[in-house]
Amino acid sequence: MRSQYDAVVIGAGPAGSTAAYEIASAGFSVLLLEKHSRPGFPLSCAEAVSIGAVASLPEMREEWISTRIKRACLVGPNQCRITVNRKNAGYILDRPRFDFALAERARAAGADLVCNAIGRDLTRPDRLFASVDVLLESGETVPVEAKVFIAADGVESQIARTAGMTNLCNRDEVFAAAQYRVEEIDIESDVMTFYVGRKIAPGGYVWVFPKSDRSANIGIGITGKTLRGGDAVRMLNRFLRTWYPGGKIGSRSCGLVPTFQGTGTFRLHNILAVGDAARAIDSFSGAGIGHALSSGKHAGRAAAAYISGEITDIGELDSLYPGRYFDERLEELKLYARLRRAYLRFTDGDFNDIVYILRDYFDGRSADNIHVGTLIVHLIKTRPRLLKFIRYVL
Amino acid sequence: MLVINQETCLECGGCVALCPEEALFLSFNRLECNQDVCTMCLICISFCPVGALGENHAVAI
Ligand SMILES: Cc1cc2nc3c(=O)[nH]c(=O)nc-3n(C[C@H](O)[C@H](O)[C@H](O)COP(=O)(O)OP(=O)(O)OC[C@H]3O[C@@H](n4cnc5c(N)ncnc54)[C@H](O)[C@@H]3O)c2cc1C
Ligand code: SF4
Ligand code: SF4
Repeated sequence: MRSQYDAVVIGAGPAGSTAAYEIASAGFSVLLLEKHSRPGFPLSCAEAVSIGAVASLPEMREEWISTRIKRACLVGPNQCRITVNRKNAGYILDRPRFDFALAERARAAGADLVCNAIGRDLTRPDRLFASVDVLLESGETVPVEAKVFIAADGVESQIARTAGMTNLCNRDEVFAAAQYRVEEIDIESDVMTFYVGRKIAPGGYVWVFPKSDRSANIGIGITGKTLRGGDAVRMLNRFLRTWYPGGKIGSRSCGLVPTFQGTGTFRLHNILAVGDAARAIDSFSGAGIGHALSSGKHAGRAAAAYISGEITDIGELDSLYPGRYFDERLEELKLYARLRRAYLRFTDGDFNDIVYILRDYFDGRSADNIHVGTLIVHLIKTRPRLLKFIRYVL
Repeated sequence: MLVINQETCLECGGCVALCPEEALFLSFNRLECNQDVCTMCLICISFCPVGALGENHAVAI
């Protein structure tokens, strides 16, 4: 580790490793800091990605894929269910391998990856931030100077916040999540299943994502004002007792899934926030890997343009980051945040209704190329009662 | 005082993202709380998915 780089990236998750790769590929020096002893470990994630989410990667290696998803199943509160087919819907990843490979890709391009190192306070002598204090496991703190800083420190997002970005999460909006790797169960390896309902998972859902035909990531995300500490894991245990009583619990994890908080959490002077740190996430499902990859890519390219002198005033950076990322994803970020607001108001009756309507709609029809807008219109046409939720979506 | 059950905590960092006082810090394999700035607002306690956070009611005499 040197005392000066063109850029410092804090956090080697998918967002940070992608940003570091872009900066190094453009020929600039970049330090990639990771708190843990290796990127991708430990991890709390259900590991699902759509094909589109990973489309920006030049390759999708077989060793990163646990299972290929071709069907999605939704189970309503009264256990009615609907399964839809979608050719090449996505993958359940092996994220430890995936994250590790992305960090290696950055390193191969020339990034300096340093593990067991925490990025902490940034110093700002004048208009711009000038250095970051790096805390090493020995307890020693070393300052490292750079022209640009990428805050890719995941949901904690301590770098952006201590620097003054307003990205504090709201407890009443985020998902509190808990997940187990469950082994020794019989499961179809190409279908991802979601269980919804106020009793089963208030303000969220339970997911069963197959890791093989004998194991799955089974988790829960819940939301609401009345939640208490430990509720997520208690509800997950209850679900397992009902649906997978014989399953053997392997690794356990938990987490906070943030929600999109608007456009103010992406840049502060010469700090660019990416991925979870920027709350760049699909607020409805909690899918963040795709957003991490694409925000990381655009932030890395914008940082390189700034370092090269192509952009001289830091304010002009906006058009590249978050600008380019917003061009691709802002509408979607907003739509899913609105859908979530409507979802939080559904009763169990609404959930059952929706499952029945979708079951009729998809009878004999594949879900290829279906847009969420089309589905919303169909739901409201069939059950005008659902129109009352539309004001949360518009 | 905020009490962290280090055995139960899975180091997810969720509470860190919620603390309005920036009292929490996830260090190397360990969550730390700066009790000097914690106001016991209880936000982190009510969030923790695994119930690793609690309150110690010890009263100073
Ligand atoms: C239970 C759960 C299930 C989920 N399931 C899915 C899913 O199925 N599909 C999906 O798309 N998304 C899912 N998500 C969301 C997804 O995990 C995140 O959106 C994604 O990991 C964000 O990537 P990132 O690179 O921004 O952050 P992270 O992957 O969190 O990476 C941040 C990295 O920064 C490091 N770090 C943190 N602070 C510092 C510091 N100060 N200094 C140095 N390093 C630091 C961390 O150790 C970590 O390696 C899930 C989330 C949870 C909690
Ligand atoms: S939310 Fe709970 S499990 Fe996560 S870091 Fe905080 S105390 Fe630990
Ligand atoms: S009780 Fe409130 S102030 Fe104290 S650590 Fe938890 S969230 Fe922060």
